[in-house]
Amino acid sequence: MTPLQKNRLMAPSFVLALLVLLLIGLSAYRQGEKNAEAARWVQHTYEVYGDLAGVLSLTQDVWGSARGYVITGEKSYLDPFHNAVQLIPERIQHLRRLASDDPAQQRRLDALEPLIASRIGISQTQIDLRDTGGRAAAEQAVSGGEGKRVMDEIRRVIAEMEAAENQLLQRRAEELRASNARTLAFFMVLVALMAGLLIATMVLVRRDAAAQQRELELTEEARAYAQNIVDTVREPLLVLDAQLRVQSANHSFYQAFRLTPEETEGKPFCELGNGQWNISELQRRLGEILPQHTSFQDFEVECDFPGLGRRTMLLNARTLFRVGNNTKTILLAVEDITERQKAQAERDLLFTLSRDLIGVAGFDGFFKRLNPAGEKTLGFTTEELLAKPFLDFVHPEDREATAAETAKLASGVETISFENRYRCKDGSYKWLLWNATPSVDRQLSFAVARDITERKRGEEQLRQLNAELAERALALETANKELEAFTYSVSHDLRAPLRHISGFSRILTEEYGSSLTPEAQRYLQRIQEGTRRMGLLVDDLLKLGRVGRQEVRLQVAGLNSVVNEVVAELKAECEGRQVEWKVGGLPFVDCDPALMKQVFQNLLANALKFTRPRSQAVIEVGQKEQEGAPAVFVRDNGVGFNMKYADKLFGVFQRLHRPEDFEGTGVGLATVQRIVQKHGGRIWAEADLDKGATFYFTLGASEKSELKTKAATAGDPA
Amino acid sequence: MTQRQIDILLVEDNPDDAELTLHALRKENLANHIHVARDGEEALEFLFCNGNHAERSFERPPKLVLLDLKLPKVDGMEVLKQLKADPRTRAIPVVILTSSKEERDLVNGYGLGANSYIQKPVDFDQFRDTVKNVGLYWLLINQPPVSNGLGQPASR
Repeated sequence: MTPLQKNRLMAPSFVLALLVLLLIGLSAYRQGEKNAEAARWVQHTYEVYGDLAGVLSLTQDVWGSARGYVITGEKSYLDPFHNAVQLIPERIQHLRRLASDDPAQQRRLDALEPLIASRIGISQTQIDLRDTGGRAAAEQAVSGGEGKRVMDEIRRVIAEMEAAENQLLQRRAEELRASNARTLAFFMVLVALMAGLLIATMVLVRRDAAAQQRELELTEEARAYAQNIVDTVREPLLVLDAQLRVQSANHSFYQAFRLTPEETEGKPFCELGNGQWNISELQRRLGEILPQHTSFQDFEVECDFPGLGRRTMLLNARTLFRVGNNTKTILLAVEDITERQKAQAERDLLFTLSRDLIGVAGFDGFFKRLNPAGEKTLGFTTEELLAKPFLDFVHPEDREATAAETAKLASGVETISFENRYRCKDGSYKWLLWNATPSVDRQLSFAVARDITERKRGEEQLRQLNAELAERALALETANKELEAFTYSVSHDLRAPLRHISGFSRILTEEYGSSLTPEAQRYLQRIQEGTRRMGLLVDDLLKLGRVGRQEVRLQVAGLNSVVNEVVAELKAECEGRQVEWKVGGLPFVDCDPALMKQVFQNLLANALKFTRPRSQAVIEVGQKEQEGAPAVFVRDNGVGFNMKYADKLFGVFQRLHRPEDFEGTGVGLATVQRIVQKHGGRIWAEADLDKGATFYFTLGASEKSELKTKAATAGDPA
Repeated sequence: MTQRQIDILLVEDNPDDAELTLHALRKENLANHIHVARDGEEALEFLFCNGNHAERSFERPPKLVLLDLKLPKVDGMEVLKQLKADPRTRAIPVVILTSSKEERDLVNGYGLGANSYIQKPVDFDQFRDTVKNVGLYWLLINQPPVSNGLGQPASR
């Protein structure tokens, strides 16, 4: 039941109670009246009784007095007679007045008056007779009986009147009793009604009080709830009274403006802080809120706040009804939009300054917004770009793909790294790289495009260059293959005639030598020697060619065992010479052991060869740190060479010594270099004329091989 | 035409090489039963008893084929391939005797079933020794299978 409904019920019950009270009063009054009238009637009756008794008494006085005088003749007996004659009319008159509204009593009075007059007349006659006739005459007259008869008649009439009056009184008393009983009953009803009403009202009041209590509790709850919300809201909130004084503020307010409740509550709003809110327009608008039931939104204030610096605030205000005490206050919300504005400004700046094209496009195929980069990139004004469907600007060859991409966007799929060409104002096309995100419910997509024309051009150039390079590589490979085929063929084809020259000259020597001159025999020998040397040359060339073509098959191999093997093979060549081999700890490396063997074969054979003039040849093989990397070296104390020619050392057919001093084909070191290079390494030499030479080489050094080096060095006593 | 027993089929296009080979074999008295085929085609005709050699029989195959690789018309590898692919000729020992020391030739040769691979040395002494050793080994030391059509023992 709402309070309003209760009020509606309470008012009539009160009115009813009032009416009942009024009725009770009214009827009590009326009954009082009635009782008073009844009392008057009783009085009236008693007066009538008195008068009647008086009349009777006086009449008897008339009779008695006359008899006394008759008997005695004494005049003093006549006093009551005269008194009575004088008083009786007054009494009669009085009775007439009393019974003025009662015709029956009037009629009886009418009958009584002559009777009394007649009685008086009789007594007067007797008195006169006494005076005149004396006692006997007078007694004669008295004993005549006339007087007694009248007297009886008078008594009868007075009794009749008394009875009538008594009856009247009886009737009135009856009526009064009935009226009193009725009034009592009525009172009882009214009292019952009153009690009912009182009980009902009391119940209602109690119920109302409970409801009010509940309502009060609810209100309190609602107030606490609201206060909680207000305190929880991150936005600073103030409640101002009609005089724009702060009633309360939430936690956020104190925090945001670094104020305490003592500095705030009860203070005029415009005086808070350093008075930064004292802005006449703001005051005016706040002042209007309660009287004019207005509100305002987003009133922007930019000013310096103590401890905060320059800030921009948005103010919102409206009326706040306080249910508790039914007052109206102003709720003022303050929002610090400084950061937001800054971020917005930064976003705007990004949008404006971006070299990438940023646009908002509708699913209808038109750009809705474009940043200045659009103008800069394409040369059209933004208006021109927004005026036509963007597909109109797309290169005809890219339109289909672009339309498909926009359709995908419209279905909610992001565009990632989509490329197409856009027409510029000057008719040229620019390559754009698009990334876009659709917002299907807004029917928009947000796109960023980068001008990748330069990159595309670069890519195109790179592609062409690559194609050319591939072409060239192919040509080179072909040429290489041809060269290999040529080398193979030449070597192969050269060997045959060499063999033939060698063979036939040998047969000549063996089978026909005896018939030849010594000179002819010597020439034949020279032919043999020449063919042998050419054979070596061809074989070396074939070896070099094979190294060039051969794939390196890497495996882990210990170089010490390779070196030892080669040294053993060279033992024959050391016959009759003093050769000291000093082989140090060499690493285990990833290499092609067969090729590494060729390397050491060449280097060690060379060392042996070029130390030939030395009585004591010293050939050293070891490992040494060179330019930060481990290098293997082969050192000899041979004839060395002039470093001036060091660059020729590894060239094919390059020789630094005369063939009659040191034989050789000039292919060996070239082969060694090829092998080292094939292993990802480097070879170089240091030498001094007549002071020996040192050849260094590295292999594609890896951590693995270095670790193995240490292991090998530690474990190999050689 | 009486069909004589051929011990060695020398497939060699170069007359000088053929001459020198024959010279070396002759020295060891191994050149009596030798036939020289100057190209691959002739070699196949000889081995498969057709063409100019239709009169020959599979019954009497050579005991050894000395095969050069670079040959006119049909090269040595093809000859080797056909020879080793046919059950009638598969068992005939083939020694590749060539100037080439190319690895791919070696691999291919052995892959096709060559019994030996020898590079002709440039030095004549070495050449002579090599030819002699090959001849002696395959004709005198090696025991050919009996049940594969090579049933006829050598006449010597």
